[in-house]
Amino acid sequence: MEKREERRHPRPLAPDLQTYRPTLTMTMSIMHRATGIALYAGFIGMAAWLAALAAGPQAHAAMQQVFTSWVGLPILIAFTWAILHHAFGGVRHLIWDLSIAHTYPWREYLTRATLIASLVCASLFWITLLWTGGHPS
Amino acid sequence: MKSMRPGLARARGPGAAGSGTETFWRQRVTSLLGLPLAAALMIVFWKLAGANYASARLLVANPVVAVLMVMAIVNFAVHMRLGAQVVIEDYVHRPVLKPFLLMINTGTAYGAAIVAILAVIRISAFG
Repeated sequence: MEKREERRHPRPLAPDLQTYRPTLTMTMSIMHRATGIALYAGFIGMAAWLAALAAGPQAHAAMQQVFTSWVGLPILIAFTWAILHHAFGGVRHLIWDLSIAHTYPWREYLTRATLIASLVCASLFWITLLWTGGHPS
Repeated sequence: MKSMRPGLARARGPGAAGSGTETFWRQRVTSLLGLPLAAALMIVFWKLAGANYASARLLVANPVVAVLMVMAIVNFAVHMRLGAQVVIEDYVHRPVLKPFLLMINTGTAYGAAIVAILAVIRISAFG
């Protein structure tokens, strides 16, 4: 009896990603999570790189070959952008945590600002780095 | 507004779970601390980009760099473990899989942190 009723009138579901029209703040929230998970992987990569540096010249050379290859370099570039995107996005969330800039249009300006800041900073970082060929220190 | 909770419950604190909002707060603290530490890491990455083996060792062996790196490693290990835990708790609801993934998460985050910290200590303390 109850089950038949349930089939005819299914219980309302909480609206989620499939229900809402995509918005910038929503997409950026998803990106914050995605970059967070990507940075998790990047952290493991950094640990592996440090372990190779500690292990000796041969391990370091092998690791450098991976990181500076045509597969490794785009991943490194994406990694630096993910750091900046997650950091600026984190600042945005901390601002929202303080109940500031919740309302239209400020939340949209803030969201756009963090996206642009991450793209500009990551671009500047890599253009300058590749231009100067890095620090031979 | 006057609290709806009875006086005894308020006196006893967070209730049956035995804990409250520590992880929420810790995630905020590590995010705030993470901003200067991430900036420091970016500078180290920058300096390491063109460095050969000897100069990379020399840079990581620098006391200021080593201390900052260990601080960053600890901070981000805590932060990313909590972050991944929220993601697992949001999307995984199967009884055995969920605690299994939570344990894998803790082990991976802290395991990677220990590897990284030992590497920095070995480079900076033992040349």
